[in-house]
Amino acid sequence: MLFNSFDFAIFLPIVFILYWFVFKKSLKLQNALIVIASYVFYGWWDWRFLSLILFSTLVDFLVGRSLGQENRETKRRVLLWISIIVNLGFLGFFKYFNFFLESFQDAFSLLGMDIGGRALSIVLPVGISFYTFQTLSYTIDVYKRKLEPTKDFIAFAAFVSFFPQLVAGPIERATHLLPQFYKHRQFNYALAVNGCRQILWGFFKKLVIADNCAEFANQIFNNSEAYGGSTLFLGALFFTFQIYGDFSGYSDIAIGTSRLFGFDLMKNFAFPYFSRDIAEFWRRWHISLSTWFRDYVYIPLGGSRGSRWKQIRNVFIIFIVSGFWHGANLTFILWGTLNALYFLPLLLLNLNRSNLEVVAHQKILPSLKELAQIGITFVLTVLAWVAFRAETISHAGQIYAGIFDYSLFSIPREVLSSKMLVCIALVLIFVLMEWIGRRREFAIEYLFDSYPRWIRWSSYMMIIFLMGMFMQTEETPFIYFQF
Amino acid sequence: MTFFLKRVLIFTSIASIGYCIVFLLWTNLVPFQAFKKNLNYKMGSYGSMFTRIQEADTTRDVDILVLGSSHAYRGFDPRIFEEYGIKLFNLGPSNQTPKQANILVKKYLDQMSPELVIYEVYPGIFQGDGLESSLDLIANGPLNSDLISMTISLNHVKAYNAMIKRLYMTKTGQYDAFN
Repeated sequence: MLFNSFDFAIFLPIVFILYWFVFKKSLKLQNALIVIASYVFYGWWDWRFLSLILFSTLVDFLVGRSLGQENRETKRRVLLWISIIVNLGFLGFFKYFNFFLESFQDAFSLLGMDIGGRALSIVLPVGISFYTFQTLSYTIDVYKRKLEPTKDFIAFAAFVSFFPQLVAGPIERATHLLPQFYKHRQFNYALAVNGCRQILWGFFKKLVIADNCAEFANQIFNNSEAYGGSTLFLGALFFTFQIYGDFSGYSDIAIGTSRLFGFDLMKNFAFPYFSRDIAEFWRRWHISLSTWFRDYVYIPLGGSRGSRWKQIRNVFIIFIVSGFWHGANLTFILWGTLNALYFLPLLLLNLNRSNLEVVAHQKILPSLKELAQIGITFVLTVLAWVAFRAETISHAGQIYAGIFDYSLFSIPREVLSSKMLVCIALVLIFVLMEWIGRRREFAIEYLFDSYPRWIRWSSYMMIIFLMGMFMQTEETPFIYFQF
Repeated sequence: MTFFLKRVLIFTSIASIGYCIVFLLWTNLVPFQAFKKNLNYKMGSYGSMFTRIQEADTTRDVDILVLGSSHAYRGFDPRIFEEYGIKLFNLGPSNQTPKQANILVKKYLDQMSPELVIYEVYPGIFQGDGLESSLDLIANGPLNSDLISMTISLNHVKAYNAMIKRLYMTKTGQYDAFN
């Protein structure tokens, strides 16, 4: 089920009413309702893949229980590996099987050998990368004795399949989300209202910003050979806002929906395009994935400790693995490598933690230096998104060659239209609103502070009007569903 | 909790009215179509729907009533049938799907009492959402409960926007004054 579908508009109020009115008194029933609702939500897309979620849930629940009873280190390690192999095995098969098969075929064909093998027609189960990582966090934390294994299967199943964040995150840690299923939830009016506000803002980002930008990004990327440098760069700019609006919009809707049910999910985006360097960008972009890789891959590898070579190796590993997580395509590896290259100078000069505060914290506008830093970081990010969006490495290469050309300094007349100018105007309004609200969890949260109700309600109404007048009307799936 | 639901209800009601007001101000004051992305409201339209509805309202006792997509309204010329003494009325707009055909049949079948109804179909017509034809009908067709039901069943923001505009045009007499 898509958040931006009519089905969800019916589904959410039904679950909400059942949750708070019918099952209010029983925590177990509320959790059971969440499991059922989550399975319906997921099964709406393809019920056959529910078996994968259920199997993952069962394996990790049993592994967790066994880890709790086992003290011998060798056996504990075996249990941990069972969970890792099952979860990454599913992920590897559904997501990477064909990629590795084709890569091996290509590699051997260079040596003049035909190893045979046929690519399988595999459907990628929606959200598999997300719930796999979430359930893995549970086993790893139990293994590391950071978390007590749960005895409540329903609560655990609800944690794995929690519908607001099941298919595209935020990827929650078991230490943060699982305990929330043990506690009796009280309806909190202020939290619920804030949740609605965040849902509204998420829909605006998705339907108005992302989907409108997508139209032009697709037009330019799909016909890239016909365009000059300035148009290609414009296409990359549109994709930059498409992916941000799409993914952070999803996260906002997920976090807001969870609030309606009394849950607190972790922040996933913190105004990444106002970052002053790439390190800051990565502290603000897809935070739940970055911190997952930091905690479960980067730090176990030694992190920023050890020799310089080891540090450099770790940076490349983390960014390349992160790129590969997005999909079985060399373009994602190129995207990860580019980000590693951007990050490396900061690490070597010990500047990777120099911008921890919100930009222009006590001021309305940034200083010229900050503006230049934001501009440079933004352009670097835009250039990296080219690799992310391109279909193949050679497609990315062709776009880069087009961008780094004299035609970059021309006016992109070939695609300019009144429709595009309206889209650009909407993006500028969006950036302005994000700037004003950058100190908060999401842009329009500040409206709650001290403004009278009529201003707040008028603002929401204007956002609804902008959605009604400018949203893309085709139901477009979220980009991150394919990861 | 009940307080929250009440507030949601109050906000939804006020927001719906507010939306209509802002929408009408915007669509009347802003001159550029690019700024009215989700309003496709064309009176008259390329299938001359408005004129045909005006004629249909006063037409009685036809021999043949034609419904269907653009193949219908471009394929059955009443003048040629008239040469053979057959009275034909063509009610086919662009991209008409069974939903819109149903509204027109309900409204005009008894009044026109045709001996034969030709309903032109082709496979593509059952795949589309009929949005184009619905918008044409909302702007030009007979305003009745069937038209409102069709708008709701279509559940498309462009159809709702067109319906707000149509209600406004009818209420202010601009629909009747069009000609």
